[in-house]
Amino acid sequence: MAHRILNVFRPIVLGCALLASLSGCEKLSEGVVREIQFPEHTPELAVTFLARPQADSLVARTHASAGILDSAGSQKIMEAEYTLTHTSGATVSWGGQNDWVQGRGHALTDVDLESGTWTLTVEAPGYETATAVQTFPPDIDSVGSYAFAAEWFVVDSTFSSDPDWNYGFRSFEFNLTLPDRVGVDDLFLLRSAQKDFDDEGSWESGQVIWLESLIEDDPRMEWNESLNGFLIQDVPGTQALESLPFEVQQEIWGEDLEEALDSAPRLELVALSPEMVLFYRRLDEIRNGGGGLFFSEPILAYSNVSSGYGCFGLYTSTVIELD
Amino acid sequence: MHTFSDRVDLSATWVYGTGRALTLPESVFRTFAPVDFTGTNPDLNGTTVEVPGEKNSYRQSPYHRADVALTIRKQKQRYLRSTIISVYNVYNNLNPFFSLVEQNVDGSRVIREYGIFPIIPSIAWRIEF
Repeated sequence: MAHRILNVFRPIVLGCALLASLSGCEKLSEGVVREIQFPEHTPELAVTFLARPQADSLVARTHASAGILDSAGSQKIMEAEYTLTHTSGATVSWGGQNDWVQGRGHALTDVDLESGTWTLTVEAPGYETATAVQTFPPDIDSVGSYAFAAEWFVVDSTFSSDPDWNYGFRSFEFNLTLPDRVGVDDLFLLRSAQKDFDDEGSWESGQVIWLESLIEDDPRMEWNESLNGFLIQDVPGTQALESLPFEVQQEIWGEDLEEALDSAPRLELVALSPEMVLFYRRLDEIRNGGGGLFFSEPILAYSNVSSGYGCFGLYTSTVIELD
Repeated sequence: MHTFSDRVDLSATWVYGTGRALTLPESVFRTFAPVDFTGTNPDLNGTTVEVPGEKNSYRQSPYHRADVALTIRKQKQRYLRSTIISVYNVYNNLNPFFSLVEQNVDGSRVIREYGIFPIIPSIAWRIEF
């Protein structure tokens, strides 16, 4: 009896196994598409404008937010017009088709913005006007009321030269002390300012600068992938923003290496508004957590723009040359 | 479970559960980060950000599967041998483990559910002394 049953079930079991390998695995790798009704999305202005007081050119970009199943995605709005209004009444306007620079956005040239609070207004036909308010952080500089202090020394230096390939490496220990006002969030970004020696952008010559914190898991700083640098913030109970130690490594290669080695590594020190930090910190969280892993709670992007999308950020910045 | 004889049993089970609550992105927007904070390079690094809707406002497909097992026993001189032939998820329903918003090759975007366990046939022998 048992043998008879076994004989009957054997081809069925083998058939099931075959089916499993043919159809089950395909379903596993491809998944199953499911129709879900999403609420209709009303496109809003997604504005990104980051400005410093003086610059040759700054770029603002406005896109239309899009529903998640919209295959066209978030489209740029070339008709967007921008107005910056200072609390003193001064205004700066640009945008529209005339100021559109292909591949970039709406260029604001010969920038000279006074310190203080600015209101950004963005208008585009068919969209609700978006506004945002920002205040410039104080001018970060090596002198003045909002001064940083930096010291550095060379830890290691190697140089190799032959007719085909010249290579140089330098390592610096770099200590930075930042201004820290009582009762105010002082927020900074430190990153390398890379410079290519070859104007044509080839890899025949160039340099790369690496920046690393010498304190592991220092609560005062965190690496921000979006801004490609360390975000630095005062943390209560720590040694404020004094003596932040970094290692700066510079690799240089090219035909005229001696000339290149004369060029000091450059770091960008940026004082950021709190809203700008929140925006890029949240972008990193989305990129590294909620946006990437299957089981983590989705993270909502921060925005200081009235439409709920984008960022208006003001910053001051300076270059530190380790010469 | 159905017993055909002292030697042959057939068992089956069916499991059903409401789909898990889900938070899905409802909209997207493009934003940027500066390449250069001090120089003259006006380029920006662009990225697309997904904006999630209200927490747990969607639901995955329901979870259901059927399992069957046939047990055949044979008394040997020194031991009892059981042959167990079983099939997990007999109708090969893809029970969702996670869901992703994805773009098809034609550019259209869809919600795709991924499962882990398809139909799994198995055979086992048990020896009881």
